[in-house]
Amino acid sequence: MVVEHKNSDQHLIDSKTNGSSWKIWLKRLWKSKTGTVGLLVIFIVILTAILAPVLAPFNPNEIDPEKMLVPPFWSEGGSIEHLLGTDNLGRDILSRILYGSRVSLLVGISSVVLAGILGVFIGLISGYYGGFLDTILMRIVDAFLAIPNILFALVFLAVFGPSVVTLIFVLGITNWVSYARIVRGETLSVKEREFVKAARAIGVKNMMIIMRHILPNVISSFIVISTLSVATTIIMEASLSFLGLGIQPPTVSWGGILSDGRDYLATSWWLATFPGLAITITVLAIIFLGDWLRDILDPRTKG
Amino acid sequence: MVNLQNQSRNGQDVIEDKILLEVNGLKKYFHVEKNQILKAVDGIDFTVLQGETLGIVGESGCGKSTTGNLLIHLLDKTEGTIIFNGLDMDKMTKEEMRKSRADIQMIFQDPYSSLNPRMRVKDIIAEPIKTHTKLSKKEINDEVNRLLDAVGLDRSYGNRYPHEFSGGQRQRIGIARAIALRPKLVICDEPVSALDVSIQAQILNLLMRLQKEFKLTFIFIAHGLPAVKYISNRIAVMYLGRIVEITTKNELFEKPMHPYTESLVSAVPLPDPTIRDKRERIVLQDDIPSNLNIPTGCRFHSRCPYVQDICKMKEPSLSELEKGHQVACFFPRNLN
Amino acid sequence: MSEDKILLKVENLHTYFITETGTVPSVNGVSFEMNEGETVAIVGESGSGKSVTSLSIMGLIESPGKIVNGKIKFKDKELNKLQEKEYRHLRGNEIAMIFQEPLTSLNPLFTVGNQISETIVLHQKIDKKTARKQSIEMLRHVGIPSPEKVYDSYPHVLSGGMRQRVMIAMALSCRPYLLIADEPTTALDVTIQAQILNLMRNLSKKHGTSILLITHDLGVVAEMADKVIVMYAGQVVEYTDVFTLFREPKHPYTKGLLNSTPKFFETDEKLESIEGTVPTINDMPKGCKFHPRCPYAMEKCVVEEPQIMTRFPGHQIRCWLYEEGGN
Repeated sequence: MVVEHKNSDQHLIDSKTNGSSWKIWLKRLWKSKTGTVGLLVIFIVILTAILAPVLAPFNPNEIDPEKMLVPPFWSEGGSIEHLLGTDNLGRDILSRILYGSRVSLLVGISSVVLAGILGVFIGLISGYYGGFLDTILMRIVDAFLAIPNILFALVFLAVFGPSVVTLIFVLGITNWVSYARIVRGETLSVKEREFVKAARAIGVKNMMIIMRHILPNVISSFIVISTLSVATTIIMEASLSFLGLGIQPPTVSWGGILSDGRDYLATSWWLATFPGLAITITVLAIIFLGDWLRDILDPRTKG
Repeated sequence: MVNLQNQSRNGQDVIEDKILLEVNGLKKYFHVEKNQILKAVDGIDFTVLQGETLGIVGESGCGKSTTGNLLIHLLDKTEGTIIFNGLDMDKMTKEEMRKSRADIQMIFQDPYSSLNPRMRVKDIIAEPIKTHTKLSKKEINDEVNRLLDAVGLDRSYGNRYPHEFSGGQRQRIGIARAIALRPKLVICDEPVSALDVSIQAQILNLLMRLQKEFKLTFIFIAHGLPAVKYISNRIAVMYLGRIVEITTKNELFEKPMHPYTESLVSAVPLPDPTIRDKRERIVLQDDIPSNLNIPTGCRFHSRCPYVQDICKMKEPSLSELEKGHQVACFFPRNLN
Repeated sequence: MSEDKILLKVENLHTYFITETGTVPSVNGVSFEMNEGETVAIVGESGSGKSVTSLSIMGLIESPGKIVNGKIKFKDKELNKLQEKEYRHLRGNEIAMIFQEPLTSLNPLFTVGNQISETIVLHQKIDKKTARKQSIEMLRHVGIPSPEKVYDSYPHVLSGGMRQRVMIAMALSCRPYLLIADEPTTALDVTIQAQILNLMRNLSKKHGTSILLITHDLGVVAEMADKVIVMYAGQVVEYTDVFTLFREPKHPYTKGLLNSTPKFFETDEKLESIEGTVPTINDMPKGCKFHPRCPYAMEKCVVEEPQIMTRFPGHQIRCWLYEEGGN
């Protein structure tokens, strides 16, 4: 309340910053330490997902009855051969995590993209046009919100059968409502700003107004939620796999490995700990990246 | 009506004896909860001549901004006709309608919210051009540069974002956008009320220069009388959705006929301490009534110091009492 | 109440905002004094430091803001040395403040009466019933029709003018010596502004309350003030009585401000404007802060900052043009 805010953002920056926009981005990324870490970690995770066949020392489904429940290499009885140990069937945990990242990332990202497109579109339309259309769409959203996500997913998966595609679909369907609500709310407030009025006064077509004036101004909140949502989706996939309705063997996912390890939590901690760690690190990195993205997408924070 | 404009100041010699805009019986009602009707604009008539500046003043709830929004089609009118450039807006073809949209532009009050923070200045100014013409990229770019020159901004500013500018500079950007299509009529909705005092004069002078340069006609909506007086040729005073008085600016300030105008003029704090104890002030009692509950008869009677019985029963209509001076009052003041 | 008794004396006040990105000198060496019963206006544009000056006097500067230098003397107390507890006792009781937007300064969850009597009970140690009576009396005093009804209403049902009256009633409920009014009429309509200014004038006359009026409107200054402080970029550039200021403004900025205010009763005028923009914290000019916009700027103005000096009796100016008594 004390500083006169209107002034604080008025500083006129020099037009020196004309270097290539790539360099500016990198510079600004470097300024945000958490953003740098987030991007770096995600880069590594994606790289390992792609290069899993090259990096993995073993076939993730190769059973070796002679080497069941080998602990990680630094523990007593561990071996360099299986860096993170093996599971109850003698499968190499490191290889399984490397392969599992492929499915987990694929499911996490695609279902958020699906939910995002659907939710943002419906939120924009509903908020911008208002009226009857808005009422109908928002009632549908309410109806979706009234169904517990996990229950809906379980029923859906039970009916259509668990597979990567159905999983992406079901996670997308359960998530779009939160985007729709948030984007609608933001749209309602942005719609009232004078620049939207100005665009309408000029005679800009509604679709153009939505794309050019409203979307860019609601996208930052979308990005923040969607990064968080990639994180929760990875966890949700893990839970579904944990309940046995997620990714089915022989395909490996982080949730699947975690679920396999649950019976051995007391005796062989490494079975569940390492996939859990992989999930945690990835989720944190995505959240860091989301924060940074929100900042750089706002022209006001430049310079 | 021509000889009303006998001032010599710049820009005012271009007023033509041609009616650009004619508004008749314009009404805008809003339905709010519980079957209540908010009468924002309740039957107004006025004309605007080519090249003049018509000021519209009034306090909150008088309907001045709603009027502006109706003229620019941001709102749909409830009743009445708007004839622009000789064409009735209700009877326009689609093409004529599109053309008229380009011909009426608006400058907004808040320079902070009227510019999209995610767009570069040059894209903001180019938007009307892109919407209404099929110019090439280079032509648009040249045009944007010319507009930046016209409003006194450096061409290099085109690549920046709005937040890098001060309020006055942002208002210049908004003005460049409004005149980009060379409109006939520009509606200025409180364009200086959000600006610092020293910047207000800059913007007012800029508007007057542009009016001459681009042959613009202005409707200048404001609640601050000094600014309206400075820029306008004629002024309409609104109260609760109606025009109560309309005349040339000198006439309005020297001999206001409607008691409301009289009190409005006397209420303006003047920058001269020597007259503060001598000046006769008519301080109105009470608040402005709500648009949901407009007083019967003359809508000003509840606050009028000269109220008579008839004022509570009958509503006076706007009629020309002297040449070029229309008033809606049964007992006008300062009548010759 | 004797005339010419100094009520408030501000000496060399510096209020800075110290943030990670740098120090912002919002108020940079402000000195003035006001007598009992006097109305002093601080005029300035956004960023001039006029509001921060008033908040400094109220002791309401919050972190990262800090009074880094200077003295504020109110009656016999040095305000900037007070403990928060003593300050709290002073605030609302001896110094009161009203703000530009009365809606945000009233708590929407409590009735108007609740909020007024709270202030009274807090400072005067009287029971609730008497406080209610006093509050209603106060509401009537500031010209509110049917004060009993307003006493039990919530702020949102009142109009802007009514809310500002309530704020004034609240501010005056403990009969303060000093009322700080920060743009009290800026958000109001013209006819309502006239009502509120009238009210403030009458109340000040009746009770001898001093008013420190913060505004950007020279019209309001001319109507209300005895003395005027013109601020620019955190500093006082001119300080004199109201008649001198409007008759013979000396500082180029004051002149520019007056010339850019429409005169209203002159028919053919051309407004002169001050070119350029108000400097911001990030591009504060060296030398005289006004020199980039000043039509009389000399070489000296660019390099060296002028000090505020009494160039004429009762007339202080911060400008090189009047060095050595020249004019």
